[in-house]
Amino acid sequence: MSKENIISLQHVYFTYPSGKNQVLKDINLDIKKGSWTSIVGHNGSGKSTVTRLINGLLTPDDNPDTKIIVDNEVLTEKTVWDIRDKVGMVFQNPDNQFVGATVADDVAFGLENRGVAHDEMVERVNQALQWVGMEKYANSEPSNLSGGQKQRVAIAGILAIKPKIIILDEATAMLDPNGRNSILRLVKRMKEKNNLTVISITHDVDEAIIEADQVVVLNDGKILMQDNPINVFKNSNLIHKIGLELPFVFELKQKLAENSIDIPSEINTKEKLVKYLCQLNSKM
Amino acid sequence: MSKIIIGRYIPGNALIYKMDPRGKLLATIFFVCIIFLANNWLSYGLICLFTLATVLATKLKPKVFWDGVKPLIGLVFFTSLLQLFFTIGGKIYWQWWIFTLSSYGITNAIYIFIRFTLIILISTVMTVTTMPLEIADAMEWLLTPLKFVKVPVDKIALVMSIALRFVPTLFDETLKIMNAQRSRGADFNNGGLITRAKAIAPLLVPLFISSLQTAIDLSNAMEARGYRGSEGRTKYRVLNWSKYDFYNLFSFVILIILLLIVRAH
Repeated sequence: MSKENIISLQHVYFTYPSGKNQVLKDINLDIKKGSWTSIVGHNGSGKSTVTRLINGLLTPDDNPDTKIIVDNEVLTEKTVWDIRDKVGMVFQNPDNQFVGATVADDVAFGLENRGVAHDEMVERVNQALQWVGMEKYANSEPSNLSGGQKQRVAIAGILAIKPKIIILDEATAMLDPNGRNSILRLVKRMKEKNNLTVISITHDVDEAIIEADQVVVLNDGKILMQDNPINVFKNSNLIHKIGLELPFVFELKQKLAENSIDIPSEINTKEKLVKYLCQLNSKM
Repeated sequence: MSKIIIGRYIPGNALIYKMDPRGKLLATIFFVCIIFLANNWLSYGLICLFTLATVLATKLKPKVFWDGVKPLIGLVFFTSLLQLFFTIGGKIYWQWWIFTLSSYGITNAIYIFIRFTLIILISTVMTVTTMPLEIADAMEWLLTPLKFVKVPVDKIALVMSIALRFVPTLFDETLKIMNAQRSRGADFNNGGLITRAKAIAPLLVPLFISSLQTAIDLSNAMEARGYRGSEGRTKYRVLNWSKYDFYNLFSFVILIILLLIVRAH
């Protein structure tokens, strides 16, 4: 890929004010414009911290080499609001990020903060709700929505401000499989439509492999691996050692390999695997 | 949820629903003031008629209004009884120790009874036909003059709307914690006063902590979405005065004039 980097973290260290241990140690990470990056790692490996550094919710430790660059702007106290304009974040708990008393109010919240005029606001709110398929619920209160619908509203609130980067901070962790798939499909569609860059933090390795262009594996505050999903999950021993599971396809491939059926490494989705196995069957 | 007064908005499509919450709030406040203008049977009759018309205009079941009056009925009777037995004047029918039953007492008691009931009815009309959110908006509008004495009205309004938005969420959370503690043997309904107060602790402590956690999460989310205080913010929700509000407030002007005329006689 020859595209430019939209996010670049250089030598980032981070320690929580209340803790003694460094949560992140020398993080170097480049993210290409228009790509989908999945960050995986066990609990407490520093995944969420990385994304909160990107939009300035947290400030990295003082270090002369540290630099966070988002869309050609270096993150400083002065530029933090510009950068937040470009980065939309969906958090884990759908209940705790719903600011407005109704769906439309919540979608408008980001626009209100940016001082957008009323008429334009109404138009953009309607459009954003249409994109996520929630226009019927514009006047509903959050207590009447399901978790998946609340996350859709959260995404609409972000699309309304027209960001360049969407960060999903375990945004699907509290949803059932159906809600999860529909949210992921929605983000994927929006990504293609608006040429967004997506960073997704997830426990769900299956999600990481289906959608991602790049997988970053974090372990104890360090980047362990950073490559495309196929190369990352080829390394089954390492993945198991840091307490993660393999995606289903890779798990199956490994079991087949143990029974001396070797599957080529470029097969990385269920569909491809099914097709390959059928062909294999007809040859035998 | 239906037991909580704040959630007692009942959706409908009567004319009164189309009115601006600001007009309704003003009208309610006016009403409480002008009810003291009434001083004879004719003026009370007038005000009763007006209230009855308002209640009918909501097109809601009488039970709704009965539910509004019910919790305060004891207080209403108590005040009326005090008036009945402790007012001296006019013709005295009956007297024993400090209790007196006089013609003044009887009329006063009835006046007080009517006055209370009407105030409760009108405020019920207000809360039942206006969404809590709209009431918050109307209150913000009423508070706007306080900006000149540097009261942060915008922030108060945001606090109000977030508080309202979290009432159902916290209610659900409370129920969840209660059920979780019950499943571990907690008993919220039995025992004396002290035992019961103690039983509340395993409910309140987690609720408190979860509220704080929610607040932290919410403030993070708000900041991530570009919230930096009230300066430079625009408002998505705007209230518009319509012709209905003109009718609403105009009817009050007429009522006041009529009351003043009737009162003079």
